[in-house]
Amino acid sequence: MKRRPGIEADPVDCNRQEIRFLERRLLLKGALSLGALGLLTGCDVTDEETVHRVLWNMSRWNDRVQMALFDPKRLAPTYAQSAITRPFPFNAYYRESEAPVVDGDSFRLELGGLIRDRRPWSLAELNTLPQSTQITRHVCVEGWSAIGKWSGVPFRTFLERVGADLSARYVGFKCADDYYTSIDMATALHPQTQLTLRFDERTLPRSYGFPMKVRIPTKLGFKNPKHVMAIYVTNVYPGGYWEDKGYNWFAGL
Amino acid sequence: MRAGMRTGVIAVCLGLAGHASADQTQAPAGTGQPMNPDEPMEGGMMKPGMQKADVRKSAEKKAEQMKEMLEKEAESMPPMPEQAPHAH
Repeated sequence: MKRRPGIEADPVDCNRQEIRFLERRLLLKGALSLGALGLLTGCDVTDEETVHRVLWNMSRWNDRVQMALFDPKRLAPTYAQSAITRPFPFNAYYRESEAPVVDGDSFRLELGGLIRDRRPWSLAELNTLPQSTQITRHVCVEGWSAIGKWSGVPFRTFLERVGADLSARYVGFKCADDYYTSIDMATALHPQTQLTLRFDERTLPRSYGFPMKVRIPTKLGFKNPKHVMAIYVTNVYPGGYWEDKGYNWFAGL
Repeated sequence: MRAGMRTGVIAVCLGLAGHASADQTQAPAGTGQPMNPDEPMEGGMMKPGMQKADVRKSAEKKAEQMKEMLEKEAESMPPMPEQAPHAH
Protein backbone atom coordinates (compact mmCIF):
# COMPACT_ATOMS: atom_id res chain seq x y z
CA MET A 1 0.00 0.00 0.00
CA LYS A 2 1.36 3.41 -1.00
CA ARG A 3 1.55 6.06 1.74
CA ARG A 4 0.62 9.66 1.11
CA PRO A 5 3.45 12.17 1.56
CA GLY A 6 3.42 14.10 4.84
CA ILE A 7 1.51 11.46 6.70
CA GLU A 8 3.49 9.67 9.37
CA ALA A 9 3.90 5.99 8.98
CA ASP A 10 1.45 3.82 10.90
CA PRO A 11 3.39 2.66 14.01
CA VAL A 12 1.90 -0.84 13.70
CA ASP A 13 2.93 -0.98 10.07
CA CYS A 14 6.43 0.25 10.96
CA ASN A 15 6.90 -2.39 13.60
CA ARG A 16 5.27 -5.20 11.63
CA GLN A 17 8.68 -6.60 10.70
CA GLU A 18 9.81 -6.48 14.32
CA ILE A 19 6.57 -8.09 15.52
CA ARG A 20 7.08 -10.88 13.03
CA PHE A 21 10.62 -11.48 14.40
CA LEU A 22 9.25 -11.43 17.94
CA GLU A 23 6.60 -13.99 17.04
CA ARG A 24 9.24 -16.21 15.46
CA ARG A 25 11.43 -15.88 18.55
CA LEU A 26 8.53 -16.82 20.82
CA LEU A 27 7.68 -19.79 18.62
CA LEU A 28 11.30 -20.96 18.66
CA LYS A 29 11.51 -20.48 22.42
CA GLY A 30 8.33 -22.46 22.90
CA ALA A 31 9.52 -25.24 20.63
CA LEU A 32 12.87 -25.46 22.44
CA SER A 33 11.16 -25.51 25.84
CA LEU A 34 8.84 -28.26 24.67
CA GLY A 35 11.82 -30.15 23.27
CA ALA A 36 13.75 -29.80 26.53
CA LEU A 37 10.67 -30.83 28.50
CA GLY A 38 10.28 -33.80 26.20
CA LEU A 39 13.87 -34.92 26.85
CA LEU A 40 13.53 -34.38 30.59
CA THR A 41 10.27 -36.22 30.96
CA GLY A 42 11.23 -38.90 28.44
CA CYS A 43 8.35 -41.27 28.01
CA ASP A 44 5.66 -38.83 29.12
CA VAL A 45 5.83 -36.69 26.02
CA THR A 46 7.48 -39.06 23.59
CA ASP A 47 8.57 -42.69 23.44
CA GLU A 48 12.02 -43.89 24.47
CA GLU A 49 12.98 -44.85 20.92
CA THR A 50 12.44 -41.28 19.72
CA VAL A 51 14.60 -39.90 22.53
CA HIS A 52 17.35 -42.40 21.64
CA ARG A 53 17.11 -41.42 18.00
CA VAL A 54 17.44 -37.72 18.89
CA LEU A 55 20.42 -38.37 21.16
CA TRP A 56 22.01 -40.64 18.52
CA ASN A 57 21.65 -37.94 15.88
CA MET A 58 23.14 -35.37 18.26
CA SER A 59 26.11 -37.69 18.89
CA ARG A 60 26.65 -38.18 15.13
CA TRP A 61 26.45 -34.40 14.69
CA ASN A 62 29.07 -34.11 17.44
CA ASP A 63 31.23 -36.57 15.44
CA ARG A 64 30.94 -34.43 12.33
CA VAL A 65 31.96 -31.31 14.27
CA GLN A 66 34.96 -33.14 15.75
CA MET A 67 35.93 -34.41 12.29
CA ALA A 68 35.75 -30.87 10.92
CA LEU A 69 37.88 -29.53 13.78
CA PHE A 70 40.46 -32.36 13.61
CA ASP A 71 43.85 -31.07 12.51
CA PRO A 72 45.62 -33.94 10.68
CA LYS A 73 49.01 -32.27 11.23
CA ARG A 74 48.68 -31.57 14.96
CA LEU A 75 50.67 -34.10 16.92
CA ALA A 76 49.75 -35.60 20.28
CA PRO A 77 52.29 -34.72 23.02
CA THR A 78 55.27 -37.05 23.34
CA TYR A 79 57.20 -37.80 26.54
CA ALA A 80 60.62 -38.76 27.82
CA GLN A 81 61.57 -42.36 28.50
CA SER A 82 61.52 -41.58 32.25
CA ALA A 83 57.82 -40.69 32.07
CA ILE A 84 56.72 -44.20 31.00
CA THR A 85 54.15 -45.69 33.38
CA ARG A 86 55.36 -48.99 34.85
CA PRO A 87 53.56 -51.28 35.10
CA PHE A 88 51.32 -50.15 32.27
CA PRO A 89 47.69 -50.86 33.25
CA PHE A 90 45.69 -53.65 31.64
CA ASN A 91 42.16 -52.78 30.58
CA ALA A 92 39.54 -54.79 28.71
CA TYR A 93 36.04 -56.18 29.12
CA TYR A 94 37.61 -59.41 30.47
CA ARG A 95 40.30 -60.30 33.02
CA GLU A 96 43.97 -60.15 32.02
CA SER A 97 44.27 -63.94 32.28
CA GLU A 98 41.49 -64.24 29.68
CA ALA A 99 43.27 -62.16 27.02
CA PRO A 100 43.20 -64.05 23.71
CA VAL A 101 46.10 -66.30 22.77
CA VAL A 102 47.01 -65.78 19.11
CA ASP A 103 49.62 -67.96 17.41
CA GLY A 104 52.15 -65.57 15.89
CA ASP A 105 53.37 -68.10 13.32
CA SER A 106 49.98 -68.77 11.77
CA PHE A 107 48.68 -65.20 12.23
CA ARG A 108 47.59 -63.53 9.00
CA LEU A 109 46.21 -60.01 8.98
CA GLU A 110 43.10 -60.06 6.77
CA LEU A 111 42.24 -57.07 4.55
CA GLY A 112 38.90 -56.12 3.01
CA GLY A 113 36.78 -53.44 1.41
CA LEU A 114 38.30 -50.59 -0.58
CA ILE A 115 41.84 -52.02 -0.75
CA ARG A 116 43.48 -53.03 -4.03
CA ASP A 117 45.90 -55.64 -2.66
CA ARG A 118 43.90 -57.63 -0.13
CA ARG A 119 46.39 -60.46 0.31
CA PRO A 120 46.84 -61.30 4.01
CA TRP A 121 50.00 -60.26 5.87
CA SER A 122 52.08 -62.44 8.18
CA LEU A 123 53.77 -60.97 11.22
CA ALA A 124 57.18 -61.49 9.62
CA GLU A 125 56.07 -59.53 6.55
CA LEU A 126 54.72 -56.70 8.70
CA ASN A 127 58.06 -56.55 10.49
CA THR A 128 59.85 -55.83 7.20
CA LEU A 129 57.99 -52.54 6.75
CA PRO A 130 59.47 -49.22 8.01
CA GLN A 131 58.99 -48.81 11.76
CA SER A 132 58.63 -45.83 14.10
CA THR A 133 58.50 -45.43 17.88
CA GLN A 134 56.43 -43.10 20.03
CA ILE A 135 56.13 -42.40 23.76
CA THR A 136 52.61 -41.08 24.14
CA ARG A 137 49.78 -40.96 26.63
CA HIS A 138 46.93 -43.45 26.53
CA VAL A 139 43.80 -41.74 27.85
CA CYS A 140 40.92 -43.93 29.00
CA VAL A 141 37.31 -42.77 28.95
CA GLU A 142 37.05 -44.20 32.49
CA GLY A 143 39.16 -41.30 33.76
CA TRP A 144 42.72 -42.63 34.01
CA SER A 145 45.72 -42.27 31.73
CA ALA A 146 49.17 -43.86 31.35
CA ILE A 147 52.25 -43.22 29.24
CA GLY A 148 53.66 -46.03 27.12
CA LYS A 149 56.25 -46.69 24.43
CA TRP A 150 54.93 -48.23 21.25
CA SER A 151 56.75 -49.22 18.04
CA GLY A 152 55.41 -50.38 14.73
CA VAL A 153 54.47 -49.47 11.19
CA PRO A 154 53.01 -45.99 10.54
CA PHE A 155 49.45 -46.80 9.49
CA ARG A 156 49.65 -44.41 6.52
CA THR A 157 52.65 -46.36 5.18
CA PHE A 158 50.69 -49.59 5.42
CA LEU A 159 47.54 -48.19 3.80
CA GLU A 160 49.57 -46.77 0.93
CA ARG A 161 51.47 -50.05 0.53
CA VAL A 162 48.30 -52.12 0.13
CA GLY A 163 46.67 -49.62 -2.22
CA ALA A 164 43.84 -48.56 0.10
CA ASP A 165 41.43 -45.95 -1.20
CA LEU A 166 42.68 -43.01 0.87
CA SER A 167 39.64 -40.96 -0.10
CA ALA A 168 37.30 -43.44 1.64
CA ARG A 169 35.61 -42.34 4.83
CA TYR A 170 36.27 -45.10 7.36
CA VAL A 171 38.73 -47.77 8.43
CA GLY A 172 37.36 -50.64 10.50
CA PHE A 173 39.07 -53.22 12.74
CA LYS A 174 38.09 -56.72 13.86
CA CYS A 175 39.88 -58.25 16.83
CA ALA A 176 40.62 -61.71 18.22
CA ASP A 177 38.62 -60.91 21.37
CA ASP A 178 35.55 -60.12 19.16
CA TYR A 179 35.93 -56.40 19.85
CA TYR A 180 35.44 -54.14 16.83
CA THR A 181 35.77 -50.43 16.19
CA SER A 182 36.40 -47.96 13.38
CA ILE A 183 38.03 -44.59 12.74
CA ASP A 184 37.86 -41.80 10.17
CA MET A 185 40.37 -41.81 7.31
CA ALA A 186 41.96 -38.50 8.44
CA THR A 187 42.93 -40.13 11.74
CA ALA A 188 44.10 -43.28 9.96
CA LEU A 189 46.53 -41.13 7.93
CA HIS A 190 47.70 -39.10 10.94
CA PRO A 191 51.51 -39.39 11.33
CA GLN A 192 51.23 -40.92 14.83
CA THR A 193 48.62 -43.56 14.04
CA GLN A 194 50.52 -46.85 14.15
CA LEU A 195 50.18 -50.59 13.55
CA THR A 196 51.90 -51.48 16.81
CA LEU A 197 54.07 -54.60 16.96
CA ARG A 198 56.25 -53.82 19.98
CA PHE A 199 55.73 -52.36 23.45
CA ASP A 200 58.58 -50.91 25.48
CA GLU A 201 61.16 -52.42 23.12
CA ARG A 202 59.85 -56.00 23.30
CA THR A 203 57.33 -57.99 21.29
CA LEU A 204 53.85 -56.71 22.08
CA PRO A 205 52.77 -58.69 25.15
CA ARG A 206 49.54 -60.68 25.06
CA SER A 207 47.99 -58.39 27.67
CA TYR A 208 48.58 -55.35 25.47
CA GLY A 209 47.33 -56.82 22.21
CA PHE A 210 49.67 -59.44 20.66
CA PRO A 211 50.18 -59.86 17.78
CA MET A 212 49.20 -56.35 16.75
CA LYS A 213 47.27 -53.37 18.01
CA VAL A 214 46.44 -50.01 16.48
CA ARG A 215 47.85 -47.14 18.50
CA ILE A 216 46.05 -43.81 18.02
CA PRO A 217 47.33 -41.19 20.49
CA THR A 218 44.83 -38.60 19.21
CA LYS A 219 41.87 -40.69 20.39
CA LEU A 220 40.51 -42.20 23.61
CA GLY A 221 41.71 -45.66 24.61
CA PHE A 222 38.67 -47.60 23.39
CA LYS A 223 39.53 -46.44 19.84
CA ASN A 224 42.90 -48.27 20.11
CA PRO A 225 41.97 -51.88 19.24
CA LYS A 226 44.13 -54.78 20.48
CA HIS A 227 44.67 -58.24 18.92
CA VAL A 228 43.74 -56.85 15.48
CA MET A 229 42.99 -59.65 13.03
CA ALA A 230 41.33 -57.79 10.14
CA ILE A 231 41.32 -54.30 8.68
CA TYR A 232 38.86 -52.97 6.13
CA VAL A 233 38.34 -49.65 4.36
CA THR A 234 34.80 -48.55 3.59
CA ASN A 235 32.42 -45.71 2.92
CA VAL A 236 29.70 -47.34 5.03
CA TYR A 237 29.62 -46.18 8.65
CA PRO A 238 30.93 -49.23 10.60
CA GLY A 239 30.41 -47.99 14.19
CA GLY A 240 32.01 -50.07 16.91
CA TYR A 241 31.10 -52.13 19.96
CA TRP A 242 31.08 -49.33 22.53
CA GLU A 243 30.09 -46.75 19.93
CA ASP A 244 26.95 -48.75 19.09
CA LYS A 245 26.17 -48.76 22.82
CA GLY A 246 26.14 -44.96 22.92
CA TYR A 247 29.77 -43.94 23.37
CA ASN A 248 30.93 -41.13 21.10
CA TRP A 249 32.32 -42.51 17.81
CA PHE A 250 35.00 -39.90 17.01
CA ALA A 251 36.27 -39.84 20.62
CA GLY A 252 39.09 -37.40 19.85
CA LEU A 253 41.47 -35.92 22.42
CA MET B 1 75.55 -91.56 34.54
CA ARG B 2 77.23 -88.18 35.24
CA ALA B 3 78.08 -87.77 31.58
CA GLY B 4 74.44 -88.44 30.74
CA MET B 5 73.30 -85.80 33.22
CA ARG B 6 75.80 -83.30 31.82
CA THR B 7 74.52 -83.95 28.33
CA GLY B 8 70.97 -83.47 29.57
CA VAL B 9 71.83 -80.15 31.25
CA ILE B 10 73.59 -78.92 28.12
CA ALA B 11 70.60 -79.94 26.00
CA VAL B 12 68.21 -78.05 28.31
CA CYS B 13 70.45 -74.95 28.28
CA LEU B 14 70.71 -75.05 24.50
CA GLY B 15 66.96 -75.44 24.29
CA LEU B 16 66.37 -72.42 26.53
CA ALA B 17 68.90 -70.34 24.59
CA GLY B 18 67.24 -71.29 21.35
CA HIS B 19 63.86 -70.35 22.76
CA ALA B 20 65.14 -66.95 23.95
CA SER B 21 66.48 -66.08 20.52
CA ALA B 22 63.43 -67.46 18.72
CA ASP B 23 61.62 -65.61 16.02
CA GLN B 24 60.01 -62.41 17.30
CA THR B 25 56.67 -63.53 15.90
CA GLN B 26 56.30 -65.96 18.82
CA ALA B 27 53.71 -64.95 21.36
CA PRO B 28 55.14 -63.91 24.74
CA ALA B 29 54.74 -66.38 27.59
CA GLY B 30 51.26 -67.00 28.92
CA THR B 31 48.74 -69.58 27.93
CA GLY B 32 45.70 -67.73 29.14
CA GLN B 33 42.44 -69.17 30.34
CA PRO B 34 39.19 -69.41 28.39
CA MET B 35 36.75 -66.57 28.83
CA ASN B 36 33.46 -67.42 30.50
CA PRO B 37 30.92 -65.75 28.18
CA ASP B 38 28.15 -65.82 30.78
CA GLU B 39 30.06 -63.70 33.27
CA PRO B 40 29.40 -59.96 33.65
CA MET B 41 31.85 -57.74 31.78
CA GLU B 42 34.90 -56.27 33.48
CA GLY B 43 35.88 -52.60 33.43
CA GLY B 44 34.21 -49.28 33.91
CA MET B 45 32.61 -48.91 30.47
CA MET B 46 30.05 -51.66 30.91
CA LYS B 47 26.48 -51.02 31.91
CA PRO B 48 24.60 -53.24 34.37
CA GLY B 49 23.49 -56.50 32.79
CA MET B 50 26.18 -56.61 30.08
CA GLN B 51 27.84 -60.00 29.73
CA LYS B 52 31.10 -60.92 28.02
CA ALA B 53 29.19 -62.88 25.36
CA ASP B 54 27.46 -59.67 24.24
CA VAL B 55 30.60 -58.56 22.38
CA ARG B 56 30.70 -61.70 20.21
CA LYS B 57 26.96 -61.46 19.45
CA SER B 58 27.31 -57.79 18.45
CA ALA B 59 30.41 -58.55 16.34
CA GLU B 60 28.59 -61.31 14.44
CA LYS B 61 25.59 -59.07 13.84
CA LYS B 62 27.82 -56.24 12.62
CA ALA B 63 29.81 -58.55 10.32
CA GLU B 64 26.55 -59.76 8.79
CA GLN B 65 25.35 -56.19 8.26
CA MET B 66 28.62 -55.09 6.64
CA LYS B 67 29.37 -58.24 4.58
CA GLU B 68 27.52 -57.45 1.37
CA MET B 69 28.68 -53.85 1.14
CA LEU B 70 32.31 -54.73 1.88
CA GLU B 71 32.25 -57.36 -0.87
CA LYS B 72 30.81 -54.86 -3.33
CA GLU B 73 33.42 -52.30 -2.34
CA ALA B 74 36.21 -54.88 -2.70
CA GLU B 75 34.96 -55.82 -6.18
CA SER B 76 34.97 -52.15 -7.20
CA MET B 77 38.72 -51.84 -6.56
CA PRO B 78 41.07 -52.33 -9.53
CA PRO B 79 43.85 -54.90 -8.93
CA MET B 80 47.37 -53.76 -8.07
CA PRO B 81 49.60 -53.42 -11.16
CA GLU B 82 52.13 -55.89 -9.76
CA GLN B 83 51.66 -58.74 -7.33
CA ALA B 84 55.12 -58.85 -5.75
CA PRO B 85 55.51 -60.63 -2.40
CA HIS B 86 54.89 -58.44 0.66
CA ALA B 87 58.39 -58.87 2.06
CA HIS B 88 61.28 -56.97 0.50
